[in-house]
Amino acid sequence: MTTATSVIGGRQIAWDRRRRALAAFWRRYRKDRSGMIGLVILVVMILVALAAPLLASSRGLNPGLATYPANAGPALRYPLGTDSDGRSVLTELIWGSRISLLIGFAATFLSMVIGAIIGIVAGHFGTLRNWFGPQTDNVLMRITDWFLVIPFLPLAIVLARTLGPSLHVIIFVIGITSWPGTARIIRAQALAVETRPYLERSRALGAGHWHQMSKHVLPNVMPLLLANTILTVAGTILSETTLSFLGLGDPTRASWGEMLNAAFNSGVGTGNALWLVAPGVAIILVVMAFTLVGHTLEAALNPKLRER
Amino acid sequence: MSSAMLDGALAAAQELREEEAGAANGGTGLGLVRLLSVKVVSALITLFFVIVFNFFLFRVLPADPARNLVRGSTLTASQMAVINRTFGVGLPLPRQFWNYLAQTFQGHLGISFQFHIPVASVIGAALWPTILLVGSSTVLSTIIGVWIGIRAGWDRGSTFDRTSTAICNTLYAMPDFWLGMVLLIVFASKWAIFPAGGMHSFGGGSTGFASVSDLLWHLTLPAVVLTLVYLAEYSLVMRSSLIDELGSDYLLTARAKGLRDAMVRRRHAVPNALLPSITLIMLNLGFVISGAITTETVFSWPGLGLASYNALNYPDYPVLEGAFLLFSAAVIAANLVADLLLTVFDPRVRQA
Amino acid sequence: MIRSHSTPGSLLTRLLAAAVLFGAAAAPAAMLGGQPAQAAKVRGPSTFVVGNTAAVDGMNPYVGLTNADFEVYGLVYDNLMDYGQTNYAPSPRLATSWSVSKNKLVWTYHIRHGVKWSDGVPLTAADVAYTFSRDTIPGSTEESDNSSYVANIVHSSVKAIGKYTVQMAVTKPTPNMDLLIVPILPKHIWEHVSEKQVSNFPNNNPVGSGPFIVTNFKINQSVTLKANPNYWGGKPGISKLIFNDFTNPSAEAIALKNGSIDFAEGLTASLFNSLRGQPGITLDNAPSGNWDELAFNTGAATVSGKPIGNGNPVLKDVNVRRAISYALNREQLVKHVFLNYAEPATSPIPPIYPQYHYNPPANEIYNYDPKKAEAMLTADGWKMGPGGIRVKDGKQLKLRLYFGSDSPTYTQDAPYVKSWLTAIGIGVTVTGMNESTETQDIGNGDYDMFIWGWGVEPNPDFQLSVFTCGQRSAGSPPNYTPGWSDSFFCDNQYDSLYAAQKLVGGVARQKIVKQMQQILYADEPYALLYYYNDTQAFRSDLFTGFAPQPDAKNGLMLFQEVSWWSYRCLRPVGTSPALTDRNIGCQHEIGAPAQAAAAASSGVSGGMIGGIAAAVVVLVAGGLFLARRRSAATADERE
Repeated sequence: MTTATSVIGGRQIAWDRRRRALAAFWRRYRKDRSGMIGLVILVVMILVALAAPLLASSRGLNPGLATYPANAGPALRYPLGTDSDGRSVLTELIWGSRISLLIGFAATFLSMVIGAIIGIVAGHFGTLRNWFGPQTDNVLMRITDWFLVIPFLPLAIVLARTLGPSLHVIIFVIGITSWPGTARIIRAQALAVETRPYLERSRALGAGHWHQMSKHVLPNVMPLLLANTILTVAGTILSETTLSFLGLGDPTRASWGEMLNAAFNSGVGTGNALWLVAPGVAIILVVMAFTLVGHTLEAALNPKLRER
Repeated sequence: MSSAMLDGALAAAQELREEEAGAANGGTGLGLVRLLSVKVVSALITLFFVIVFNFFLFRVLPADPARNLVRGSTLTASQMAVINRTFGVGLPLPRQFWNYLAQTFQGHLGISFQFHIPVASVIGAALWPTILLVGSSTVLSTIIGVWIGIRAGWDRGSTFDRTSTAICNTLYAMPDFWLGMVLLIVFASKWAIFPAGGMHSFGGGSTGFASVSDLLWHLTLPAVVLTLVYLAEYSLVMRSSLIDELGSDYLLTARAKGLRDAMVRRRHAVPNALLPSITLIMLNLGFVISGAITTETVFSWPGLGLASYNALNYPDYPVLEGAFLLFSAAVIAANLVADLLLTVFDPRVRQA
Repeated sequence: MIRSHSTPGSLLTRLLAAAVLFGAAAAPAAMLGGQPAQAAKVRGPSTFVVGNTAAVDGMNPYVGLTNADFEVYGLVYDNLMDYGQTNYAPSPRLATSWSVSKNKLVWTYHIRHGVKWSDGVPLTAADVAYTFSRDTIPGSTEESDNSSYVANIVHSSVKAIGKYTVQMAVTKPTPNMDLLIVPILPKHIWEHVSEKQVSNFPNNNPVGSGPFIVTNFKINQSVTLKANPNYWGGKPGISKLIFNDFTNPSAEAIALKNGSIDFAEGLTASLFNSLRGQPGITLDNAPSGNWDELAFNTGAATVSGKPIGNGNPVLKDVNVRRAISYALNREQLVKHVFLNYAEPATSPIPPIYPQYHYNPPANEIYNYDPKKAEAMLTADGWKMGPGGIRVKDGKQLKLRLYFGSDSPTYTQDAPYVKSWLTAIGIGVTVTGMNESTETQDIGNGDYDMFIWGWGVEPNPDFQLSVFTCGQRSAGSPPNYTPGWSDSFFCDNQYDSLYAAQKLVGGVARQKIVKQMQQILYADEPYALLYYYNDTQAFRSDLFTGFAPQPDAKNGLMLFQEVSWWSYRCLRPVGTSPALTDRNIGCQHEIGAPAQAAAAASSGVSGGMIGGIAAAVVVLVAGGLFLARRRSAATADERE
């Protein structure tokens, strides 16, 4: 009985502490105006993506059913004008947000998983006082450094060209090419965490590597990982745009990048300028929002950066 | 190039320097020379890795490079044989790998599928335009970016700071090819001030001043695109490292001692804050070269980026492979130069 | 300290000064450019610049693939004949006349006298014989490159008789021996290029006998040619001809508008429309030999008839193919994808070759009729099932649709096709892929349907061969060697007609060719989508004398069907026709008056804006420079 009560009490305390920390974090975050602007844009974008079926019928994406005039300027029924197939640019923009965000998040997730695993493993083993540990760290970081020098765009181009244009491929290609930076940052953080007393204690109590990494290191690098994730999404969305522009995206999925590509291919400076401008502005807004939120998170989490 | 990646590269460079600075401090007077040679050797090892990676990327991943070309182009059996010979298709993998290494180290990058000339010639012809474009925009974006960063960081919260930071955040989020297209519509089509693409006008003044100004005229739009996109990044980094610097103890001391503002800025804050920014710019330089693929494509600028784009569409695997090797080598070289410069300039190493 | 202590302030000042200089240097150039008339003046009045969207690969006629390559080869080298400008009939070029023996197996050609190679060496029958011997070595690169012309020539029979006569024998009667579009090469150059070397021979300074001589070739940029002053037909009307590569058709259209190029090809429909009404520019919307199709896997098999691949067997059923064809709204594609610069297509030899084109009777044309398509499927046993997808014998009617994602047109077409087929109860999975993967999948028979296209030459032989049994895949698994057939259509009657049309000429051949297309149309291995036009635009205020093919109203100005008429007769506005004009016999365009006056007015404002912009650059940079100085000064004063 008593034991159980004390456990619950302990959980309660931990939970309270977390809640307080979160509240304090939110107070710090809220103070940053640009961070708030970014957050608002982001929330709106995500809501639009989620609510796409409510905002515009997906039938509007089907060129075979299009009834509007092609390349028309804005009108009441198509506030951003139409594309060369006579589809409303707004409809495409709304549905495109789904694909763009999906690719952004999925590719980032892949990159984070790879980066976090390599970073944590390297950081953890790097502090061991035997021959094996530092060597593991050394090898992992050498590999990471090698991948850091491989320029992203050419590598992504070659991979996408070889593997063919599809949604999975583009997610894979972007994810696989953007992890080394994360691995580096996470390793540095993991190294710092490793020196903390409770890890010493846990080691003394005979905890295994897996336990130490998953129960102690990972939760401690998590906040930084989160900030890094948000920043990386900005990069992956831009990467998707670039690969689509180069004709390496999946043309059957109308992302913003594919919209731009279609507008370019049809000929810029002709017809409805909003077809080119709108997806561009959407990309700028969302990338900027992710960057602002990421930097604000970073600053709110890291006291050293708070002054920026 | 995602910022997370650059952050990582920056962290790596910083950490390496600190480790080595420590090692050099503990070591003998040979420190600096040894350090430099270690760096060169490690760059060479990295280059070797890239060459190995290249092999897997181009020879192992695509099932059969020659067959990939059969229909789009009417290759004959004898042409297929030539390509297969070049790629060593059919030989056991270790044997192919050995041939590839031998050829690469002799500088044989193969024959272009599209142009039927050595890849080295294709790349060689495209090198100078890229150096011109990337070089001029790097110089401009560095100067303007660092200048904006200093002003914004020094007067943090001022109108200038807020405006410039907002603009830089926008530019940083902008796809470069999209900016290029917009500039093309406005400055080449709507107001025909600048040319729609290429590097030279045809015929006429090909001598002296006329040809130089013609070149600059063609260079303007692509260079402006790259400059704007990169100056955003540089100014944001310069700004935050200056702000970091301003918070440090020695600066507070300097001000407390009554040194005037401009003096503090010039003598102490800016030089120290420049270090990370210059590191970033140098590290970035290697990536900018490959990042010019889209801009060069939009403006038909006949550099490496355009050559890669055309090779991608053909598809001309030998040229893609050569370009890829060169892009990676550029990053390695830029890293090495940044590293060497910083080693020489870093006071902690100097004291060793 | 090693670190330099020069203050960044002074460094910045210096660098800013450099920026000002950069702006200043660019300014005069900016003022220079901008207006078409001036841009033309800069490059000289008789320099004609062609913008092309497919890059020129090289100068070696045996290995080039793009249409820009062939454009250059036809200007550097002469063929024995040309396709006639107005009727695609044989027209003399290097050969002045020819004849065939009574048994139709030996051909004799009389070569033009007094022709010289561009290096001054006389061109004789020996060069012609050398070229044809080289091009008929079995299995060589040379042979495969020219196979549609030289396939029946007996290699050992090619011989020069005297200085100006060439004779060759053919294995069977071959009417198209009177139209040999094979570039004649100088023996004294090419005999030093072995067969092994030929595929990697750059031929950077080609020696030819054609109307133009290559002076400069920059890969991924341009090819510069000068007029051949000793051309047998007389010196062309333009002194310099440049092909300028554009990776971006939008930039090409802008360049034409600004006058930095004189001719643009490969424009998209909307770019073409955007040039309408621009001063000094004339648009040419000419039907070409090109069309795209929705192709079906009619039962993939190797040449020996062994079935291969995983194609849906449903498509072996002609009724399903015909039903699909009825479900295609071709008018909508024409309207949306081509903005009406195209027309719905029927049979594979396009209407620009009316003598060979088969025009199906009105009641047999697959006009858009989804009701009829549905009725056909229902009659065929395909009942509407759950999810709106038809079912027969427990199997759902689901098909894969592939397209080359490199092509903006196919990318745009694909969702339409999916939409129409979904509407009649056919489930469609659309996949974009790169062409090499697609080729291999098709060669292996691993596909159901795809969208692709062909360009048809004036001689229908090759296009018809695509549907013969012999063009199916060869080789063995896992990767078969694809032939030209990508529908795997195979019909004995069609094959025998194909063999028969090779042996006759004139009306007899036309009749057979039409009969073959009738078979194809009934069986529908391809559902042709549209014949699309070549949209070209040019500066009619600066150049005149084009020779459109096949006629003034519907003619291609440049990039004609295996023909090069205009280049030899073009001239700057205001000059009199060149000698070539009469010697070659160009038929000129009707109308297209010079519009030089209109161009100037818009150009001035462009130049002014250029000047203003340059001034702004200098001012801004200068302003930054001064601001910087002043803030430094005030800071110093504040002390």
